Amino acid sequence: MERGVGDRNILDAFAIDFCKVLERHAKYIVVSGFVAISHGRRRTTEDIDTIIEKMPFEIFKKLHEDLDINGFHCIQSSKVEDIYDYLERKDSVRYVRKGTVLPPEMEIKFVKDEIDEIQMRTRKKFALTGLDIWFSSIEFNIAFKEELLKSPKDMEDARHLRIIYKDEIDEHFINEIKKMIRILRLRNER
Amino acid sequence: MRDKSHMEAVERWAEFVRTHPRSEWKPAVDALINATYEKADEFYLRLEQTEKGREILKRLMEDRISDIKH
Repeated sequence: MERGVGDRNILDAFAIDFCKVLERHAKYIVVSGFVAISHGRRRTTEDIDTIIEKMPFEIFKKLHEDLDINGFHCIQSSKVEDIYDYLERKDSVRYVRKGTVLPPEMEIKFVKDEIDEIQMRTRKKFALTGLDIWFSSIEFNIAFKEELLKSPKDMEDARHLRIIYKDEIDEHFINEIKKMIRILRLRNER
Repeated sequence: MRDKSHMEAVERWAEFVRTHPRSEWKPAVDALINATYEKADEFYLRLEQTEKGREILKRLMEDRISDIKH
């Protein structure tokens, strides 16, 4: 099977196909590694992280059925009730293309707190990526990578994004997000 | 631990992306991503061709699903 076509690599094609379905049912954002990769960072990933708005079971069921019709299945379970339980418990669910359990996979979570709600409200599409996909803002991605995730890979992603958008980044906004991360995420982890 | 030269390489590449049109950097990114996935796919196809390989593949898949569930 030809998985990357023309100007689209394997990850692009997967993300476009998945988000096209997602868009019909929910407000969503793609966050983290794929944001940097879509902006030219020379690395790959096995999963694309996505946050979707909370929704009642009936709406999620329709989304799940649409994903099924369009060739995606959830690795954890085929029962939509189980999948919804994962999301309700603030766990992620993972979808891959049918016929495999191998990556790339879409990791989906429900919005879980005020930070996610702001990420959702300030979501953007980036012309530079050439993708018709909603992403969380560059400031959010930098802040999460520098303040919460902090692995070498994440720090390099943040540096990459800082260079790409060096004349446009709102440093004050990044610092405000980092403050929120310390209050809402890091404090809960201690 | 990655040394300083690694971050310097990241910075040089980011600067190239920032200052060049998408048509000049995107093929390099696409080639890397596609090649990584294609190599992995080839590996799994090779595993499928022998009994021992199929056992390994089964273990890998079970381990992967179990990791995700817990």
